[in-house]
Amino acid sequence: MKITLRILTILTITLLVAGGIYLLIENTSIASSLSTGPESERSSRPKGGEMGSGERSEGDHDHNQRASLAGGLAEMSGSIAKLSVITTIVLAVQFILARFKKRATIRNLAT
Amino acid sequence: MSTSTKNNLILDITIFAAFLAIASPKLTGNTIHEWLSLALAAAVITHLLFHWDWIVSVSKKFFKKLFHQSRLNYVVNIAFFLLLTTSMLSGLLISKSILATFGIQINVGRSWEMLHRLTSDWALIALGLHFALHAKWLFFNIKRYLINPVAKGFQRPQAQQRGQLAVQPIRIDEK
Repeated sequence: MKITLRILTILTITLLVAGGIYLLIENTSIASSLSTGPESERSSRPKGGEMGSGERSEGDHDHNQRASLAGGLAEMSGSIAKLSVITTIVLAVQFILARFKKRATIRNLAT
Repeated sequence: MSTSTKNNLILDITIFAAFLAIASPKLTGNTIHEWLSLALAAAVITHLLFHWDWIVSVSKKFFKKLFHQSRLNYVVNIAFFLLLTTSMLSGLLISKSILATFGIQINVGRSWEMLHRLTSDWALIALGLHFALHAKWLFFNIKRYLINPVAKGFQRPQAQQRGQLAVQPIRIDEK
């Protein structure tokens, strides 16, 4: 019962957040500003023939892609590299802060 | 929800691996990318249930103490949750397999696709921060539950050999 209530709480919050985002995107200028970038201009260009404004063509955007081992592994390596860089930076900052704290504590004890 | 550290670690590693696979749609293909994302949502709910007590306690004392590690964790986690929710919502709206399975057809603008890419990239950064803030716990428990047991498995034959060698002189004395 307790766990069911917790799951319902999480789902309710998620639905509220998702609903809010949907309304925000559909009713504000975010949607138009997102789709006016150079990449979107390139990707929304129809391949032959006329297309409606919200219509999606088959195979002209990279979300509609097929699996490829080499490309996929390269993509995953990129993700791992990004994660490693972020982790290293955060750990370095934490290390430096801990050192400063330690020095301050030693100074306080000395005085 | 009572959980052991081992269960937490297994779930976290599974989520991390799933996230990496989802972040590489070229590797999995579009169909697996979509369904795996849906499974990830369930795993994330389980992860939140595992840490429910922490979420409740930090939410209660969020504004009491300004500078604290748990506060930074909380902000990163909320940002990560928002990014994941946006990424999954936009992914669901532009999905081909999931919506087709349920016979739903939505005609959404290209902006959702752009939003999906944008939030996915930011979610990866948020994951990096989330991972980094828990790196010490992770490395400690990976060593405790994965590396040490494997290392012990390799050490056992050596210990047995040592034991046999120690017995041998006694046998010689008996003779």
